[in-house]
Amino acid sequence: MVEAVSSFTRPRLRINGFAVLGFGLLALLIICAAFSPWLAPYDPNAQDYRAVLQGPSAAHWLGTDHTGRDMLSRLIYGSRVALSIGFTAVGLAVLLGGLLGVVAGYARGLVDEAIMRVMDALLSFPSVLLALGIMAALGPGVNTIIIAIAIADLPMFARITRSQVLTVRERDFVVATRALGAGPARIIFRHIVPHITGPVAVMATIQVGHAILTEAALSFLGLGIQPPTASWGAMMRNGFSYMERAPWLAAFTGLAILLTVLALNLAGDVLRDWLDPRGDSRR
Amino acid sequence: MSAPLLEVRDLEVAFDTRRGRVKAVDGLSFSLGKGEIIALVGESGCGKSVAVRSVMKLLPEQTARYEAGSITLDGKDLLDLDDKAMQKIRGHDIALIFQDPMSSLNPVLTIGEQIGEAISRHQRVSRREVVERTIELLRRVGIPAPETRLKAYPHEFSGGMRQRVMIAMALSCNPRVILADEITTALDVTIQAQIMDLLKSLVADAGAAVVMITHDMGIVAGAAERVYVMYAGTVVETATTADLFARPAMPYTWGLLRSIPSLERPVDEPLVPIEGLPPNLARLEPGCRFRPRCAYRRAICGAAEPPLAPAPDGAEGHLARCWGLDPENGWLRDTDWTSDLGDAETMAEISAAAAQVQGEKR
Repeated sequence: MVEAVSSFTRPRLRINGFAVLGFGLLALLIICAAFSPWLAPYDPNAQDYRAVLQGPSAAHWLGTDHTGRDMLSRLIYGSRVALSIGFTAVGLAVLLGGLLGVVAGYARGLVDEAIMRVMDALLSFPSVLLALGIMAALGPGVNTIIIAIAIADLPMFARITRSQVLTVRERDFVVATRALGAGPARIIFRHIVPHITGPVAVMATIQVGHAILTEAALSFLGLGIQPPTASWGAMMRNGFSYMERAPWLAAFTGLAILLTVLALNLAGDVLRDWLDPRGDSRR
Repeated sequence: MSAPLLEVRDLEVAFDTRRGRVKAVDGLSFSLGKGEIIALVGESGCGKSVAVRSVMKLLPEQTARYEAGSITLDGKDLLDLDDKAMQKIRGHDIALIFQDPMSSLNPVLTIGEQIGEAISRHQRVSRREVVERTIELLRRVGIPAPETRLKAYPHEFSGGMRQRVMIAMALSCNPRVILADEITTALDVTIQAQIMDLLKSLVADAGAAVVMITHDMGIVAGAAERVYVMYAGTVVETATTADLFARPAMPYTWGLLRSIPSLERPVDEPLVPIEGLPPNLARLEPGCRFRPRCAYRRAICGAAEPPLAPAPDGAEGHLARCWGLDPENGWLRDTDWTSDLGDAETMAEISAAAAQVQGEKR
């Protein structure tokens, strides 16, 4: 609430603790994912039966699992899976959902009704349940998990873009552009889309965190990424079975998921503050 | 007079609203010759803006219906064209300059991009040529040092400069007809004069014809050749500007003229406003549209709508819609509008009715 009062003096890009934490963690994660082979101390799938279920030590910083695989290496490689699935799935959802939303919002009428009622139907399922159903139908695998998450997230992006298009399309400059003879494609892509990227970007960032959670949940349930690929969800499930003998397995995996989702949520919040034209002293 | 460039005849446009059908434009006719400047005048809410938007076919398709009439440009009826064909006409043959320069420019694109877009929409030109012509246009509308302003965003411009940019965009394809919708309303008086001078000189140079929409009689007097006074979606009086100001025929026009502040008027003499508000178009009563606010009304005014008939001064093309001007029993034919403000009793009734409406709203 203090922020609201001080908003007049706020500089254009306010760098605060949350911003540093959010983007710092995110950067760390992306580095982990991009440079896994160089960062990981061990091969994530190398089993070592002389060192199973070991606690954290100098040799294995985060311990080992039931087949003696190094947890740190598996978590680092897991970040690859998590981030690539999160970003691809949400990217797909933004593209498709955004397209549907723009078409619905611009065309109005029957087209709008048809698209949005289908979206409402999709939205009426809890997203994890919907993804679960799609996974069950398509079978496990990286591609199907991406498709499942994308379909589950699609209606949200369709809704948000549609509502944005509806507000922008009635603004005077859009009518003015029409008065100059612009066709629908030009109006949509040059004049409307730039106005709606802000809210969509914020939503997408936060949604990547959710997508990673969904992926973990699906893998935890055994429907997602199949062993031996290092996936946080599958590792969580594995850690779950050894909860009493080796609690660090589940704890470290959970921590990785927690930090990732936290980073994305913080980043999303910070983006929202930056992009919100009412939020600060941008002219 | 040769065949008009743009002719609107008996146009009727209605909107479907939750509270029923509203006829925003009801039997509007006007015509515009080459290089002519005409003005549509009237209060807020009398259908002026809807009229110009309907000429461009820019009304929301879901709710607006063209119910009758025709809009012909060079003998081609625009109402027969689909949106694709209209896209070729908008901006190219007919340009529209908007009322509010604050909101009519896209805040995320630069001035140069927006004018450039207007230029390249209807013409095949190279990118360099677009930049050159943009600079040229900005210079023509009087923006100083235009080369340096191409990368500026609308918020960096003042209201008057933005209005100039809007005019530059409208001029970009040398349209034959310019519709100027209250282009001076949002501006200071000094800037208003500059913008009107600019528009007049550009029109003289380019030979375009202009339909000005305004509620400001002063601007009409300074620029237009012919005036159409609109009330509740239709024309109630039309004449050349000189005739209209010299011998306005009907009470609504008198009311408009009485409410112009003037330097010649004694300072302590109050302006005479027109009491009440324009009628609710969803619930029009039969008879003359202005009757509820007219201090000169008589019984016949409620019986039927008066026709647009020649005014008593007999000037060519001076038409007015008022039973009081009827050659048979017109009681307003010789009224001196500057001294006779109408029947005092009727006036009191109108004021009471207006006060009651205000009370109900509160």
